[in-house]
Amino acid sequence: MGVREIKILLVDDDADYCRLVKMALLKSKQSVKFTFEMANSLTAGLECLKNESFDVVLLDLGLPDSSGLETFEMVHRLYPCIPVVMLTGLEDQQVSIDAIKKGASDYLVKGADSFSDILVRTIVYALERKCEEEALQVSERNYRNLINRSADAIVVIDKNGTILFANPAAQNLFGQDTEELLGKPLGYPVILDGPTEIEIVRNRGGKAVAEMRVVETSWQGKAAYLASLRDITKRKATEEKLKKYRKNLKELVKERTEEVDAEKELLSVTFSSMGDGVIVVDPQKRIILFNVIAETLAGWEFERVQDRPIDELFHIVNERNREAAESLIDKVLVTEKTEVGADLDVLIAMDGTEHPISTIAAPILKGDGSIIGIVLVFRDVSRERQLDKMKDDFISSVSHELRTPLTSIKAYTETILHDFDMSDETRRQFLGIIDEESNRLANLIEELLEISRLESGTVKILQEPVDIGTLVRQISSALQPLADKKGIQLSIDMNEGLPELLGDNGKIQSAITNLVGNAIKFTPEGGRVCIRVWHGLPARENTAPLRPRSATSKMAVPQNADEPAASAQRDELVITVSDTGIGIPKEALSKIFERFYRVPHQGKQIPGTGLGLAIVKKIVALHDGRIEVESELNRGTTFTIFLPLAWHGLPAREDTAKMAVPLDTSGELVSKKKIKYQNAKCKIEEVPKF
Amino acid sequence: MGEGNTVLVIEDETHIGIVVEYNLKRDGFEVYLAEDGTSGLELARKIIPDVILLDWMLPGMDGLEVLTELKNDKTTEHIPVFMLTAKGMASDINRALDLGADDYITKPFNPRQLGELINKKLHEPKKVKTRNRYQKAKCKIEELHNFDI
Repeated sequence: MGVREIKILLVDDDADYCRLVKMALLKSKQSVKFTFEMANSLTAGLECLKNESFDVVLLDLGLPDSSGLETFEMVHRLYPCIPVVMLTGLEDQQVSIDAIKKGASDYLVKGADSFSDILVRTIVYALERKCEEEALQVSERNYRNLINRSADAIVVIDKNGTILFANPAAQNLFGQDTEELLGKPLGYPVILDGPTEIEIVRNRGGKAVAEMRVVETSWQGKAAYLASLRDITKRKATEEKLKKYRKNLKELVKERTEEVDAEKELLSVTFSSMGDGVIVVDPQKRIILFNVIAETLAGWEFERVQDRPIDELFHIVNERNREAAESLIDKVLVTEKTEVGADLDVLIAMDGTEHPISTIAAPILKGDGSIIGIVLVFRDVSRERQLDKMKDDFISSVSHELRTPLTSIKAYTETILHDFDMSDETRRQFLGIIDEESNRLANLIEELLEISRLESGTVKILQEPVDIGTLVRQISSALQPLADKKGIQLSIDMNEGLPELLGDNGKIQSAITNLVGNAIKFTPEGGRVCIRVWHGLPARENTAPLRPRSATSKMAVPQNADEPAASAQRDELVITVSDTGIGIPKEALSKIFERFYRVPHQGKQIPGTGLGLAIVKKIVALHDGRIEVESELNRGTTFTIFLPLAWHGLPAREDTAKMAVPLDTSGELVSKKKIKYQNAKCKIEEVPKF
Repeated sequence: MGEGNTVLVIEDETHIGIVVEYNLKRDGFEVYLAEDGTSGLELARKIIPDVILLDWMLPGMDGLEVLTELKNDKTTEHIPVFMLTAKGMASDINRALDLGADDYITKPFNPRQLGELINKKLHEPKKVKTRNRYQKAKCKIEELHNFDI
């Protein structure tokens, strides 16, 4: 410690004593340098203090203008920071002690031994003490500052929870100032372990939420708790808002997801229910989507084809040359436009079955125009192809049929015109042939027109009373000469009192005439043709056993009228035309009602257009009736027409081929099931013959 | 013209058979008629005609089948065959020619020109036959197609 300079003020009226003190101080062995001032009265002393700063004041209790405790109080009051040492006699010790209590640093008894040393020591200690006090004060001020300025509330409570201290932040938090807080219970449970959240209701209104942390401490020497509280009202509010927001968001997401799910379900169901096959592939031609019809036509299930390249799975070839059809998908990948497949494409399924299809492929484009997939739609066009083929065949047949008589006519005409030395007989013969062929041509054209009219529905079927008995007799007499020419026996077998039929007389006559004419045509000389008519009622339990509906090749001519060859199903008129002619082979039976169909057989083809039976069938259908045939080769044939008596004028609807809407196995529409690709059985019914 | 050459006509339409026979006979040919494929083949193998006129549409065995049979049979394969038919599509013409038909006549035709046609065919030098049949036939068809319907 370096040399210190200490300035002392001695306030004492005893001059001798003053000199003593001075000498004592100067003599001191301490490494302290003293400077010295003297005053002989309180007033003078105060005056000195006013003018200079002193480190220590030595103060005599018995001064002329003041004495006792008052003296000290005066000085100390005015200069509280300067340490004061009391100088006292033996009898004034009590006063000195009081003075110390009041803030004096120390006291010295005059005249005691070792006065000098004690004096110095006292002074030094007094100064030390002052330093320490000052330091302590500074320190205390610092800490106090921290506590006062702390944003967190700091509260000290005793073990009973009574508030011993509360900093300004605490006062703020609780909305009460110190007087209101001190000595009151805190009111919240003290939990040492973790921060606790407490709700504070302020006196002057308002609520706050605080986070409180409590630790053990000591206060004024006693065990206490130190609680620091942080106002988290705002944070809490934000948390609440966030929670609400999150909840809201969750609900929105849920709603949206449900919407999306519903859309997805709708799309999926639509996709599954589509009547056409749909395949979606990615740009690498691997299968992404595959609907029910595609599964059925291709013979694969979606699970097995997913992600596999389409070329592996089935092939589309040209129907005629069997070459692989130009890959539509490849084409779309290049042109990036919708492409339509070729007309003659045929799909070969996994099991080898073939379906003629029409295809169309389109690119699936992203917003920026790049291809993210290709959708291929195809439909089974077996029916269309078949219809096309039938149309082509029909036209072929017609042109052929028309050309044949025409060829004759022209050939004979040419011959007659340029052969000048033809005999008259030959010429007559040839002209006869021309005549015959012209008639043939005329008939053919007539029949063609008839079948066209009937088919297109441009002909009105009359609903007039038809006396079937008269009709049949008329036909019989008209065709009798034809039968006589071949020596064929033509007979009628009818009951009396047959019910009247509603229908078109002309058409029915035409139909029956055709059948009888055919019978005569196809029966060799000396044979028999018989026309039967009876009133057929629906078969009942105890009547003769029913014959099967479909045509058989058993002997067709019934022995007597009570045993109908085929059974009636409603209240109808049954007309049969039977013959003992050449019969119809089994293979031909299903085809004879087709247009232009003529039963092929060795030897000369029996003349005819092949349209007759087609016309008959159409007429019968327009009367809501049906026609059947039974035949046995070389024994005979029977045609049976059923005409309902309760006909209301509406022609029977003809069967149309249907493409079944995919149903699942329980028969419910797919839309009622979950999203899953069903392997529905989709059958395409066969197109019936005409 | 005919010089006694034999012609076999296989045609199911009687009337056409009659008028063809009449005209060819006038031209000096000997004419045989058959009304279906089976009897036609039988007759062909028996008499080995110099020329065959074959209708496409026949009952039972059709014209092309008969043609194939004729060309597969060593005894009859050399006989020139004219197909007669109402069909006129190029694909049909090709089919017939591929199967060995020598020429093709569409109906209706002028029976009086038949004789000339047959004669030309009979007097053709052999090596001409190695030329493209299809091209030859095409020209002939264009000649014959002077009938409009």
